[in-house]
Amino acid sequence: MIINKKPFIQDYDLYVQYLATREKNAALQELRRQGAELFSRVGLPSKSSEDWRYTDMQFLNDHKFNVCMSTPRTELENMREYCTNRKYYSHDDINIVFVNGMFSSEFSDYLNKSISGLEVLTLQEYLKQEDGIQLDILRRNPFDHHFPFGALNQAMLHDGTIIKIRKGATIEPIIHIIHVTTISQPLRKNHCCEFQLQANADKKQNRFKVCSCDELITSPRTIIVAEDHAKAKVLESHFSLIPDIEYFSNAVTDISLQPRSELQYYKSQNESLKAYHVGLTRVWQEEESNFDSFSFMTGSALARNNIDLVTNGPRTRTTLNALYSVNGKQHVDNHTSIDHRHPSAESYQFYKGILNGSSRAVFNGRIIVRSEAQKTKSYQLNNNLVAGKHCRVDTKPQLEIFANDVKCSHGATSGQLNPDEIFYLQTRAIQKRDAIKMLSHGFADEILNKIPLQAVREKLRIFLTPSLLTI
Amino acid sequence: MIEIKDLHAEVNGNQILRGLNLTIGAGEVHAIMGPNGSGKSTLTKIIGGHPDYHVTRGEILYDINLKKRNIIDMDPEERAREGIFIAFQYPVEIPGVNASEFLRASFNEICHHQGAEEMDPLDFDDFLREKMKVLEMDDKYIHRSLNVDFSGGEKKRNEVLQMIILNPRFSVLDETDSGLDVDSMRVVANGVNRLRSKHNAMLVITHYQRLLNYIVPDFVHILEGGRIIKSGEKDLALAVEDKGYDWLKK
Ligand SMILES: Nc1ncnc2c1ncn2[C@@H]1O[C@H](COP(=O)(O)OP(=O)(O)O)[C@@H](O)[C@H]1O
Ligand SMILES: [Mg+2]
Repeated sequence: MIINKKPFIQDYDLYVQYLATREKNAALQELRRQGAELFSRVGLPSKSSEDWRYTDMQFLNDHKFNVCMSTPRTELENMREYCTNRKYYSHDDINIVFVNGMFSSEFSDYLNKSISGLEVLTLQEYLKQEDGIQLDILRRNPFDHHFPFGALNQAMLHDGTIIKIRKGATIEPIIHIIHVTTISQPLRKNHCCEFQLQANADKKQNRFKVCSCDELITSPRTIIVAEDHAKAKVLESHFSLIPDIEYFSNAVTDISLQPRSELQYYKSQNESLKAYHVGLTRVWQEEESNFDSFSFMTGSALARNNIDLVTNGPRTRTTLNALYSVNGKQHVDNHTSIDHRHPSAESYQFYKGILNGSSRAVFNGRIIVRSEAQKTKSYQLNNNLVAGKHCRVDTKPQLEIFANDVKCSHGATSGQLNPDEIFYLQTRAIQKRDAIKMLSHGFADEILNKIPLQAVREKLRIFLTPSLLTI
Repeated sequence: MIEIKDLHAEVNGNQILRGLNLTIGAGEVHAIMGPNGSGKSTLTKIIGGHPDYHVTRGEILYDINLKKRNIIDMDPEERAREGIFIAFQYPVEIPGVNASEFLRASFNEICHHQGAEEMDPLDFDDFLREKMKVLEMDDKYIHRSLNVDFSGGEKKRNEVLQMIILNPRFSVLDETDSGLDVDSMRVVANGVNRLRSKHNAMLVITHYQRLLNYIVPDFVHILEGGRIIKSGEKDLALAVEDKGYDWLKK
């Protein structure tokens, strides 16, 4: 197994053994086994695969990742401070919080806010329910070799979030799923993760031996189901309390929209600037459902974000908007795929990016219109503001259209700020530097302002401003 | 107020201005007329300090703190802070930059430079609405992105609104009348006229004489081939309207 052979996951066997001793139900163990098996077979993607042409993941082989099963007290105190003082975390929302990959009941408040029509469960809670014993919700859509990180997420799976919005319900507050990573360097060296302590004891080693925790891996897993006519807003956030720690966050979110349901789904990725983030969001849209999404990305040394959407019924409406802002040597790769399988679908994609320093961005937008999907309208646009001197943008539309009565368009631009715009602002007494900042913010606001929820816009702006600061 | 001497300027290797002389005193309004391509907008951009337009000879002397200063090496924002304002022929559209927030930032920059208090958002809002009334502008302009989806006439009105708010000492209006119907022109001219005082000066560039019925100039100059070929009083504009430019060329 690659997980073991090239041990980029440290002590994987011990980890799964440890989990097995704590879990009463074997369903998760079986899922992990399948995930590990598939991932070992496929391995980490390399540039030789078309889907990963611009984003080689082989470098992960040279890392050693660890799982954290308990977070040091001081880190929790930082989190407490963060939750009381920062606008990003708000008690107006329904919060489900994971710290270093572990569910945290302390910061989660969904249990205190019973809202009719909304069901929030952790995966562990779900397992205890009768309908959750077999984990059908996780089995329904197996991962395949196209995206090995899905299998890796499953190989690591121990908890997650399950959200169900019941038939006809409209959930007003934002459902905020937070994945925060916070292990500061000196602590990491002295802190032994629980399972490693146990593992060391098992190996009859010194219980107090300091384990060689290198970098954390977290495997966020989220499932959202909106039933018939249900309406909700979900924000999924990934960030770090420490700006420069290395870790690997490998997230998977599955979203199922039943007929006539509406979901506003925001994913905000602001990981540490030394982290790696791989995210897969899979969406199934039934008849007349509306998926309105926004991906916001400012973090990570390397980030890959896939959205795979399939329509399962006619007259669906899909919006995939995004803003990425990268700097330094950051690399951000977005792959979207919308598979129109039924007639009269509308899909809109507008991805905007700001590149500073010597950052890189990749956009690949796949649009499939099957022969049954007549009267599909599908539009795609990717605009990049290239502010840094040594940036690179690789953008590619990928249209596979098999129906004749469709309207599709795509476009991409990469360019610098318009000197006439800078000049115009200067003639209004605004300094050149400020003019550039104002225009970059304007470029971002054009897409951010499409977010209907002011509370979400304001949250995202908290992360945007520092990412533009060095201009 | 401003003294342009033997101004030569080029853009992208093309010599456009070829020895332009013009002196405008405080309290005066001058008009420049001239055929298309004669260099009117080039002069505007040179006065504003556009980085693509280069002065190859001559100087522009502008009164700053009772001293004449050659401004050609000053940054555009510095000139603006010293009270120079350009109403552009083709104002740019800037998506995502809110028209009123931008104008407040601009206003506060100038306040700051002059050592005055900055205005807080609420006070500025009142101030802005009052000025918008003068120009009979709809409230909606101010919530929109700067010039985005504005009609030609709305853009021009927005330029004049900025001028009224920033209260410059020296303004250049580059074909502010083009794109305005007669009613709009009267409103806009009224806004401009309110600014006229013995302390400031204006240069009104136009293609048509009719604007000058509303903003009555003290002097009229004809620009042709990059220099002023004739100067006179307001009846020169009427003569041009009547006979065109050809009779002026020698
Ligand atoms: N950015 C530019 N690059 C090249 N040529 C220019 C540029 N701007 C203006 N010109 C040229 O300069 C001349 C004068 O233009 P302009 O000043 O706009 O004239 P007017 O405003 O009087 O119509 C024209 O021949 C025009 O083509
Ligand atoms: Mg012109």
